[in-house]
Amino acid sequence: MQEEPRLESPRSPCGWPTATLRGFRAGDPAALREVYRLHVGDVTGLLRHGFSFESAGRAHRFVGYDSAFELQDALHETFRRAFEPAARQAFDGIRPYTPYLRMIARNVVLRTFRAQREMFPLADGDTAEPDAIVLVDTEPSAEHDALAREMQGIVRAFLDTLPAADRELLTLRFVEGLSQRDAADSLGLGRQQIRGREAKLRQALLDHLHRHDAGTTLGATWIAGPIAALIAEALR
Amino acid sequence: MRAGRRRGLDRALTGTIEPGEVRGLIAALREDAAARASYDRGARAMRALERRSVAQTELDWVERRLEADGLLDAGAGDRAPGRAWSWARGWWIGASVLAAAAAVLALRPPAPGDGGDGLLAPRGAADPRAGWLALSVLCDPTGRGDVPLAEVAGGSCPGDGTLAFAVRVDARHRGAEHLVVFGIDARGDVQYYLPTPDVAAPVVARRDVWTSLDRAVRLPVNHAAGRVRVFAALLPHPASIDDVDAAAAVLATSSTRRDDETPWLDRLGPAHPLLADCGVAECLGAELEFRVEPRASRDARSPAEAAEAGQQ
Repeated sequence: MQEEPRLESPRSPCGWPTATLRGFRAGDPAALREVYRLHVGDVTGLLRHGFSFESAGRAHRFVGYDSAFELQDALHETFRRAFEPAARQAFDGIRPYTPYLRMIARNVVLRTFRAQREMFPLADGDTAEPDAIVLVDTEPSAEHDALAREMQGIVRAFLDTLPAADRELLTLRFVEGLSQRDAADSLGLGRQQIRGREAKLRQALLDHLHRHDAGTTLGATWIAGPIAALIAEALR
Repeated sequence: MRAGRRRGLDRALTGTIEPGEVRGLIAALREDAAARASYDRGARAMRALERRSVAQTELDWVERRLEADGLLDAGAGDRAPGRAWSWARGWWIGASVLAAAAAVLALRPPAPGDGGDGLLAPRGAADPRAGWLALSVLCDPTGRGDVPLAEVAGGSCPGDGTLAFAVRVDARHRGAEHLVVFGIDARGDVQYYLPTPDVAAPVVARRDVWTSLDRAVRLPVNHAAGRVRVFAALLPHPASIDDVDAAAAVLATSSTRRDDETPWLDRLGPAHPLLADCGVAECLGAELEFRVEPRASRDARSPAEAAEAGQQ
């Protein structure tokens, strides 16, 4: 008797390859890595740019993390929770994964919010509370814009120091948006070469930044950041 | 800041950090506000370099942290992947919620170049549009929506199960958008999935995402045990029930062998009423089959009650 052929779709309803879904549910590290890479952009956008929510009948706005460290902390915590066995089993594979993941990310943020409310309870009759509570004070501001412009200037100055070949690589990668593989094809190089050159250029940019900051009087253009952080640290 | 710590921060920012360094660096960042500020400033530089609100190296760094947690296999990933992998491959992210509480078996015609997967016939392999319309048939084996998704080997759904459907249309498709999905069961009976006599067929306007069809079909109601062939198409006009009947009459006698390379729309012939205006707006088709297993339990309801439930 001829064996019945197996029927297995290349993709599951949620859009993942079927093998990825199976591996995800089993906790296979390779599958988890694939899921991370497929979805990290969506969660990053939420954590970077914020969202609105209601608490105790009031409207609030989380404006997003500007600090790279805080954003990465929240991102890490989101995926760490999402990859726990119970969370993996709770995902049915039929519905899209992004909303599920974004819900976890929101909860990560809101846990911080609730902790802050406990630390700073409102006095009875206090009518001064704003309608929107800002969890992270990084709303666009003149200072924020100035810092961004300053950094763009530093990067432009760095780019001006590079030879044409390096500028071409960076243009392909970050202006035209090519992947490393496509950039490698375009330049007739191997992907590993592109990866290595890119890492060296990133390090060169950091070296340029360190020299710039060391050359600035007391690092005055950015020292406000560390000082503010130190003050915040002292107040913890 | 100590030079060693600064070098560690730089390695994190350039994507060259070693797995063994990750935990120590995270601890240092938590304890040292100046280190955090320096790290944030470096990340700003990477963002400005990449012209993005979050740099790729930041996402890679989180990946390293998940490796350090033991959730990802250390060293298996690219140390500095291009941004295209996450953004360009996001085409399918956001597939809509499947209304049916179905689970499990996903069946789809093989995409061009796929090796085939058993019962699915690799039809029209020479057609450059082969695979542009992809169909998934989902099986909730209990029919209660209370089981998690699990792959079912053998390409079958229990006779007590429930079917649900999803489709995906390739982004290159610029033609017809009115969907029709129907089946022919082992008795040769037509199974109207979309449209039905009561439910109009949807327009599928989205591209490169799986779109759930708001339709659940209880197998105990109408489906006989045995093979079911499922046909889907995008047409220029909404298909009528009469058109579906006419198409099923042709297809009921046609071959479905694996080596049949003729797409089902072509088997109908160009003059078939279902294909009206397909010469004006490009039509797409997809086909698959599965088996309905004999029922494990007998439904106590009357056929009329069961039929009513089946139309939900």
